[in-house]
Amino acid sequence: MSITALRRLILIGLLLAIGLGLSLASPSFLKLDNLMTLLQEASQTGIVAVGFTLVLITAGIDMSIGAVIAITAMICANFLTYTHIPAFAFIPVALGAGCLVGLFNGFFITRFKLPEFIVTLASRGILAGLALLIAVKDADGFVSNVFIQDPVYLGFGGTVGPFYIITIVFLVLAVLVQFFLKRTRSGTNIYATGANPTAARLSGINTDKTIFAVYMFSGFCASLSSIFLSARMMTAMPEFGIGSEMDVIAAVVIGGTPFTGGIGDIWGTVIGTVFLAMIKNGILKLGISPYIQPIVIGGIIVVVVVVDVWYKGFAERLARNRARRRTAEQDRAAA
Amino acid sequence: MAKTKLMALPLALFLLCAGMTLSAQTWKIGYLPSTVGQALTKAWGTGIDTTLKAAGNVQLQALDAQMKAETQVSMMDDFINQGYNLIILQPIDAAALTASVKKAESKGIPVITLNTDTLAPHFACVTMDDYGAGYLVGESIGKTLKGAGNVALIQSPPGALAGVEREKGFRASMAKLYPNIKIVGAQNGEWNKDKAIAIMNSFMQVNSQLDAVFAVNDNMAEGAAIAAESAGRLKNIMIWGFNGQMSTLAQIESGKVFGTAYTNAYDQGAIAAKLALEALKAGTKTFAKTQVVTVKPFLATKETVGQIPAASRW
Amino acid sequence: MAENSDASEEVLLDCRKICKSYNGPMVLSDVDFSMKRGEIHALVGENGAGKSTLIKIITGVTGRNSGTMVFEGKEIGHDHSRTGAQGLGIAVIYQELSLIHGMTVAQNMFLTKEPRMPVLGIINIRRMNSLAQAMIDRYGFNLKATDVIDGLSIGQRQTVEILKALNGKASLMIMDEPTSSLTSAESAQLFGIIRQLKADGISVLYISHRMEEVFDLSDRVTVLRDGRLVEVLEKERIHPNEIIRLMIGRCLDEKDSKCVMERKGGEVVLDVHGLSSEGKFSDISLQLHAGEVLGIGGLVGSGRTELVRAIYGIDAHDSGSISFQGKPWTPGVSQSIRGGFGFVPEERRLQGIMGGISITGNIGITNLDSIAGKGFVSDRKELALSRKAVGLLNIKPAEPSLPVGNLSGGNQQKVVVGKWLIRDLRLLIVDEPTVGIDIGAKEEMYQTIARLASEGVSVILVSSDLPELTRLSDRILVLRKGRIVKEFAEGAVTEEDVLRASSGILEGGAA
Repeated sequence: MSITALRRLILIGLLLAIGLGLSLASPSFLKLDNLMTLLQEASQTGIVAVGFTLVLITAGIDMSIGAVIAITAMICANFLTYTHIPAFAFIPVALGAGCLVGLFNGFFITRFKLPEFIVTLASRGILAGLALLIAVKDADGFVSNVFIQDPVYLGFGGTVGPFYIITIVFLVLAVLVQFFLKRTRSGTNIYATGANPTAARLSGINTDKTIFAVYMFSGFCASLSSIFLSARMMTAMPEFGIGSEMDVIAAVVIGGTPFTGGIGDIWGTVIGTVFLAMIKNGILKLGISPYIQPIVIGGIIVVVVVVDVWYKGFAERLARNRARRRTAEQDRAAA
Repeated sequence: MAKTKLMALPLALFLLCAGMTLSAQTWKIGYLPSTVGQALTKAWGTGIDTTLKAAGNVQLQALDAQMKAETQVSMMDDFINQGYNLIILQPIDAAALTASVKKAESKGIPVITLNTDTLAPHFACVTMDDYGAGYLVGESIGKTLKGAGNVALIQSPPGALAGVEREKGFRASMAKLYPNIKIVGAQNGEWNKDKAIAIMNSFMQVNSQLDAVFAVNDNMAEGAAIAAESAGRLKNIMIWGFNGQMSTLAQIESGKVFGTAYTNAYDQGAIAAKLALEALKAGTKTFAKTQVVTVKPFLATKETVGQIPAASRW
Repeated sequence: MAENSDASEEVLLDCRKICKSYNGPMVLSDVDFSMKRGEIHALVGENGAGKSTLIKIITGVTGRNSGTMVFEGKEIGHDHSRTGAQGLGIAVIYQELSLIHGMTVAQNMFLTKEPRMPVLGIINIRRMNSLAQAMIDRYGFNLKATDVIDGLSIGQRQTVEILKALNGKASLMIMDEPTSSLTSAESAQLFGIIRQLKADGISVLYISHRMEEVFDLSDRVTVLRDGRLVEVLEKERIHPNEIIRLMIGRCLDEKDSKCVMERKGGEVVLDVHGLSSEGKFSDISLQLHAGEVLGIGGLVGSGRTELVRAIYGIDAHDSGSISFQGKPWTPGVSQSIRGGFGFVPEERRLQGIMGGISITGNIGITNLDSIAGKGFVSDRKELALSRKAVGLLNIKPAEPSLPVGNLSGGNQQKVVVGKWLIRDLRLLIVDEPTVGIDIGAKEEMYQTIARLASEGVSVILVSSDLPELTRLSDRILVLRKGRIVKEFAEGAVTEEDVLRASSGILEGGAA
């Protein structure tokens, strides 16, 4: 427990240190506008990362999230172009599409026992193609990216006070999901399913149902973030989100949710996304070559994972020693 | 003691900020092309840079949006937040960058777009005539083929406006002037040479008679030429590109690529830079209508390529 | 006892004429088994006697072919399932399989049964912890409800398993070899808990190879042999010697089971001195002669497998030395293979074969040095080698391109052995070579081992199959808790002798 807390503290410390460094190096860093944009970018990844964290806790992976963003954008584009249905009526349909993708993923993972990576990679491909297929076309059949003018829809890209709406939604979502994970039976089931699926089943947990639920939630989160993305950009493009899986994975892993399952939480993910957004923002501010950006992010992931593995070994040694001490104590007590 | 130290930090920060604004005699201009790695965007950059340097007092910062609209939007935000005085932008997508252009203009930052206009009015757009040049290429191919034959297209990614406009212009001339020329295939080469080689190979396998190929940029035309040459069919297939980058002009001279729609990218960059300086000097902040400057295309073939001087090759 | 006599006479579980076969031979035939409320009942038998199958049937892991089961007066149908068994109050105490790491004791105890607040299904953590602590305190365990599983000793984890079962209102707890990884103090504590459970009216079905435990704890003992019920012993008849006699089921003077050990005088091939590995085995010294079959006996978990793995070089050891053919030897798998060692591992499916790959591929993999001299695998040489192995061991079907996973257990094992036989073999280590293979293949395996020994190859044979061990070995070492407790080098040895030594009952029987 304390190991996790210490790790988090170090990450927050690092976050503040980088923040301080950036504010010294670039005067525009601490400007309210910049901080709000930074949080907006973090929230864009963050909303997806919340759903992804749950998947990762069950020891699964969801590669389809980027393509879910694309397909959701295309569904909205179609509604906006060809119908007069108000945004509040079709947005639930678009969010439902994300859930449906999760349902599809969950079905193949649980029923056919296929590897999560393969199933979600396949749905990623299918969805990316589908997004192009249903994209709004002009008279000559060329994909034309709609310019969104619906004021209700565009409202999602707006602000409340200085905060972007997406940031507020992200934080509320994070608080709710964190609470759900730690304080409800279903949340506990997610951890148990990832930590030891056999044990979870032996304890009477319906692990299949849990897996269905996390993939559906992951799809939902990706769809939700897609609405905000298209509202911000005032358009919907079939290539939206494709490739953004890497940022999401990076944020979650930096936040301390490992691929092995059973561990992790949303606070870590929140810190991870802000961390990542700050690094990207900082690279722009410092005028460093943009090619450095993926190298820096990749490097950070390697460092974080290496430190985590080292830490895990350290924590296990600690636990083993404690167990041994306890055994010795008991033996003495018994003697 | 500790308190004074704590006080000193924000004070230092404040002074730093103030110092920056006071010395802002120099203008900061942001250059944001779709990606910095291409001959075209490099040539623009050179054209912009040389013109601005001559004027002095201007600091130019380029960023690479890596062909992703989302990235380009956040980079626009960053230029805006950092208080740049003017932004030269090649929008990856017209619709996607409209919001960013609007935002910049509302903060009093003029935007000059390159090649792709946006839906929001802004200071200026310096563009190649994609549609018109595409039309001209079509005309030229039709003339050479004497109005009959099979042609194929190597397209840009769906939604990439510049490529789509070139293709539309080409198809319009075909439909209007040469109804007997058949378009036997059209595939997305993703602006990319390797991809174009594969597409060209499949075109040649399917069509025993293929007379011409129009690739909507030069990279893809070069790829198509490689494929045709190794299949031994270069003699019978006329390959056209678009942009007129230096390497393609050389290939036209050596007879591998038949022709390209050349635009002087240095000039185009220089025009944008000159407009930028005008705007900064005038200090105008609002524009009801975008001022569109079109750089005329020039069809370069083996016969005409010699007219392009070395200094204008990019 | 007297005041409890009514309760203890109540039958909790009554199984009659249980039969079970897994596509073939009968694993259980007409077995009757019953448990009373609040009794400690031991189930004993040699490996393969059918204990595990019976337990699987009771806990709903596997179905029965015929027979009836009545639990707490209610008939249990053929749709009995694991969750069904849990619902009835039948719990199995796993070593640590069913605990979730990273969670606290209370979270594990209350998994899926967490107390909730009336709103939104929010878990009442405080209440959960206090309920858990109350239960821990009632049994006087040295545990805190908020301890995380990862920091607990094996014994404590087992306690948490028991608490979890108690919390699930178990009336029958099944413990399968619960002391195998416990220290003696932890075991003593476990016995205390078991007696306490009994006092609370909970029945415990106890499975163990350790006769002294069975003897100490049990109210009754059921002995199984070859899938049949041999006898149910009441308290007064429980005696280790008697149990062992019933388990083996043969009289001491029966000729079959009496084998003569004979020390072979050949050159010393392998000399192990003071080999130790923490928590696995300690201070093992042994010598192996050319052409000798050295049997290693002992219970599962006595350190046999760990010892041979260390000799072969799969796992590192902490201290001690090994010399091979008179020279100091640093174990390591590739050295071992080059030195002429062969290793047939215990878990065939997990460690011995690559099921989806052909016989040829399986044999080729350990013989890459001879088939891929210049770095490229020669298909022709590989095929020739595998044909040789197929012929040598009579592998059926004799089709080298067949995936090994499709062969019968016996033929799979022949492939595992075969890939070593075609090499220049000096020392062969076989760990439980005949588990799960049919009689015919077993016999062929015995002949192969005997033939190798006569050709001068030294063999280390680890086996729980006592007739196999006594019949094949020239000499037998018995391990118990990681130490050599007995060597049978000369004269007659019976299965009973080996079993006694393994169970810790040395000459003169138990206490």
